Amino acid sequence: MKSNFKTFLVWAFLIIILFTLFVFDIFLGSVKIPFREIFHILFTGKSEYSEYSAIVLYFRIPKALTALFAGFALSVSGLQMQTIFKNPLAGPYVLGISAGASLGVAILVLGVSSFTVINQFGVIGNWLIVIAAWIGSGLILFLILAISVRVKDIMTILILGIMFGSATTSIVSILQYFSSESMLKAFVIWTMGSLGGVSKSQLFVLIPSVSIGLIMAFLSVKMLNAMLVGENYAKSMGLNIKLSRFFVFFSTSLLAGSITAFCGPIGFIGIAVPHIARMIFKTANHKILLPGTMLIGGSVLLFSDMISQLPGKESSLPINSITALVGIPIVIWIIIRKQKFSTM
Amino acid sequence: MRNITINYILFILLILCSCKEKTSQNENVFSKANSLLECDIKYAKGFKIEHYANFKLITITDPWQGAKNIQYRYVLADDISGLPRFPDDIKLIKTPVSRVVCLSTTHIAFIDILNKNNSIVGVSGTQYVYNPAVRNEINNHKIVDVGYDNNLNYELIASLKPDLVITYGVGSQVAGYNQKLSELGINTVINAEYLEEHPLGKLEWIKFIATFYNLGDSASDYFNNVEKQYNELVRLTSGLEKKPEVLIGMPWKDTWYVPGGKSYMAKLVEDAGGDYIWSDNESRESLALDIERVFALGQNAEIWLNTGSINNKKEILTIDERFQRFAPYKNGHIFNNNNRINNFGGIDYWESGIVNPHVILHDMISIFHPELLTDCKLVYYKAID
Repeated sequence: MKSNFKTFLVWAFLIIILFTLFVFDIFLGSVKIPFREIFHILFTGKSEYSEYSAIVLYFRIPKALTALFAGFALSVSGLQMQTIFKNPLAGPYVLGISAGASLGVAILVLGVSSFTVINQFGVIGNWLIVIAAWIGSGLILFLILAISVRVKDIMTILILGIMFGSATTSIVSILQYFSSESMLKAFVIWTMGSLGGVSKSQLFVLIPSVSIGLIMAFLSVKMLNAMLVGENYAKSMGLNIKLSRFFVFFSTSLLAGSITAFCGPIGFIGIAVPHIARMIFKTANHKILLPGTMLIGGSVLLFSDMISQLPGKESSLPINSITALVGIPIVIWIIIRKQKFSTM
Repeated sequence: MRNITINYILFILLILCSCKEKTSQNENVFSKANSLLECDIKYAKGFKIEHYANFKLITITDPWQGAKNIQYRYVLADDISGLPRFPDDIKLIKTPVSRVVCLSTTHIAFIDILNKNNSIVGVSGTQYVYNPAVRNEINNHKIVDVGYDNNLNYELIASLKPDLVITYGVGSQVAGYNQKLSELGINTVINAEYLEEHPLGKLEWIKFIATFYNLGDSASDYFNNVEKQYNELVRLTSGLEKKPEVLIGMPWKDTWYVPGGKSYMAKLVEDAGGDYIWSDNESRESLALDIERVFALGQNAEIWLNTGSINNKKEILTIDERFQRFAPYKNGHIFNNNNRINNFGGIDYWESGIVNPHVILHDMISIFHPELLTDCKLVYYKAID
């Protein structure tokens, strides 16, 4: 009874934190807007100052929603990968998804624009980059999935994922080597990640694809729990291992791939957050870990976004450097504190 | 053993002392008394030229962003055989040069004004060259592409046997290229015009380039002529009460890079009678701003300049559809500097614009205050509709 109440408190606390950070993320930014004005805009959609309503409705709310869903997606896919590979340092990117997305964007930004006639090609728009990243990560995913239905040993897939990742990274380096400075800058900025570049119409694609990925993740809770005990046990439970892997990989790729396509690669959320969830809930049961990881992931990314905005300052920092600075100490602390991953 | 070490240290110290003495002795070559005249440099801060009886001394200071107390010195002479001994850092270059490699398209613009296009044998990034005459030579394979930044083709450069490679640096790595080229026995000079804050200061580097061709006088004539025209245009706009607010640049995702308040662009806008939004800023480098900040501050901008690779208003929305709510997009006037562009995206504004600051200024005044001019035909800019 007592422990039930404690659990309830933990959940309530996490939900309140998430909600508070979400609201704060909308209220704080590099432009100072009076709180009253923001309330007014949130409830009526209008403001005396048209630039304020444009900033709140078209910049801050989409950015806060992106941070929320990116936090959900990256941390859940991290949890899935850590369980599947039985490796505490696995994250959404071990399958080479981010490298694949980088390759897609690099070919578009560096390759196409330096080797072809730009005037005929036109402007490299927002959507074009998203599609290139998606195709890139989809291609790598397809390779990994094709292998995963043939290969028995999960370690083989891990190694192949890393090899594909390295191979694409080196192709990206070659493209960088041959491209002009301004194009290189455009690509480097993409790799720094950004939550604020996602527009409202892009959210209509991002949120549904992340939601499908999350639903698949919740449907895979039983498989993940069974795999945690061991593949032989899972088999004896009547689980089709290859099919389950396929299902989980697909969900991960949808989650991490969509976020990478729209926001660029955002690191460390996927590795660090599942560990925080394990610490708080002290369980390996994915029924609890999965929603817990989701809530914490959303909070961590919203918090990182608020720091990156440097409220009140003119400029902002790249989100990727903030998530690294927030994530790395957590990973180090956990590794040192719990040298044995008993709950893994 | 210990003795040997001490002797060794003493020996090295001795060598160091003697070197120092020799250098300062050689430095006497450049004493004020020997100098005939110092070339008049009015706006540029990065170089000076001193004339001596049988040679010229060029000094370049801090030729890249963030460089401190870095100096390059070149001695130029038609006959380098009878010269005195110079300090070790001096690079001797025989003039006039007749085979030149340019690592930036701006160098081509200077050389073009001096009518020395036929001296260019290699260029970095040939596809970005706009100059039609030089393009023609590139198409005829008379001018070759020598590669990019980290990807310079040293063997190709050496095989061109250039008298001079004109480099530029965005960082200290340029010192590395220079070193490498020097090892191959190739003369290099750093052209740092991009650091100048005044448009005429950038142009003034033509005097630097001209010295290598012994064309100092024609460079000065050209410079004085442009300076006169530029300042006449500035006079037109001085004392204007009503100045349109000006926004510059395009964002990348949620970051908007705008020129600093002390930059070349800010100076041009000021001279053209515009009110640049970040004119109070003290930086000459670009500022990385959060897009919502620019949205708020840029809301009243009447003129929006330099919109990247944009050709029409629709393309702005493909970059970010949120611009449809941006006042300068809805009500303002948008002008881009890509009116003269080649098939590969090489923009002449960044090439010949360097030697035509008066034309750029004329364009800007045509945009800001058409009532002041009789002829408002744009050269480098075009309206984005």
